[in-house]
Amino acid sequence: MPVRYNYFYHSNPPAQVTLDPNGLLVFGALLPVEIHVPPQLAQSLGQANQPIPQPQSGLSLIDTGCTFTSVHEPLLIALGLHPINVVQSGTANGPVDQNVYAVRLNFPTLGWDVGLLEVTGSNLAGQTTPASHGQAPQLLVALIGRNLLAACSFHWDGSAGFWSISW
Amino acid sequence: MSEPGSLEREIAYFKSKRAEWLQHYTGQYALVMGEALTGTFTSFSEAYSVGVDRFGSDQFLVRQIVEHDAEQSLPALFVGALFASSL
Repeated sequence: MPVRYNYFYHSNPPAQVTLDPNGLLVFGALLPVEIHVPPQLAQSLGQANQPIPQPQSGLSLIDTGCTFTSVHEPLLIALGLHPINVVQSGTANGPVDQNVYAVRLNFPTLGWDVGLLEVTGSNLAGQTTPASHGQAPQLLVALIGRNLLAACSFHWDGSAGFWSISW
Repeated sequence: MSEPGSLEREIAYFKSKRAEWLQHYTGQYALVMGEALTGTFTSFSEAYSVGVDRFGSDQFLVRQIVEHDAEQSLPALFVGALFASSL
């Protein structure tokens, strides 16, 4: 079972590196992610001599408040995906329908490939990481929810300033 | 074939058959295209794979046969508090 540790750190010359719990507090658990069409669909497209859409990539945030992992819907549409289901989601303005898509997710910094997952399509336009700690804001493309964490062990050590994930 | 982007027909059919299917297929995943049940499967992965084999990139519904449908919760996004900070 691979375990990957993720942390923020101060780098103080000369080569003194210390963990930065405040960086973790500000940014949360961020992960680069690639969103692909599922392998079943890629194979089907290949057999039909149709092009396989290139993956969409960006930054994701682990959000244990999300039931389903959620992806910025325009990226799912750009992959040529159709919804395979609809779920209701509670909002402050009452329930709304959200499309559900099947995707493959790849986390390149972890070396973790999730072959098939149900994700909801959401509007994440304008959702960026904070401009802090010398980092420019980066767009979020996905929120990693509990349907993916169900396959993992996720450990958050806020006082030390790191988190880890294993699967 | 349904209009792309809409699963209204499949969902209406699913709902009309749910009580009947619950008697035989509780917990399984239904694969529905139009107003027809293609099959029921023990996993989402199996239902999706058969759907792609049968229908390619056309639209189809995969939904678990349970009394109450799954719901999504995205509290931080919907209250605008993903990266909340003081002003």
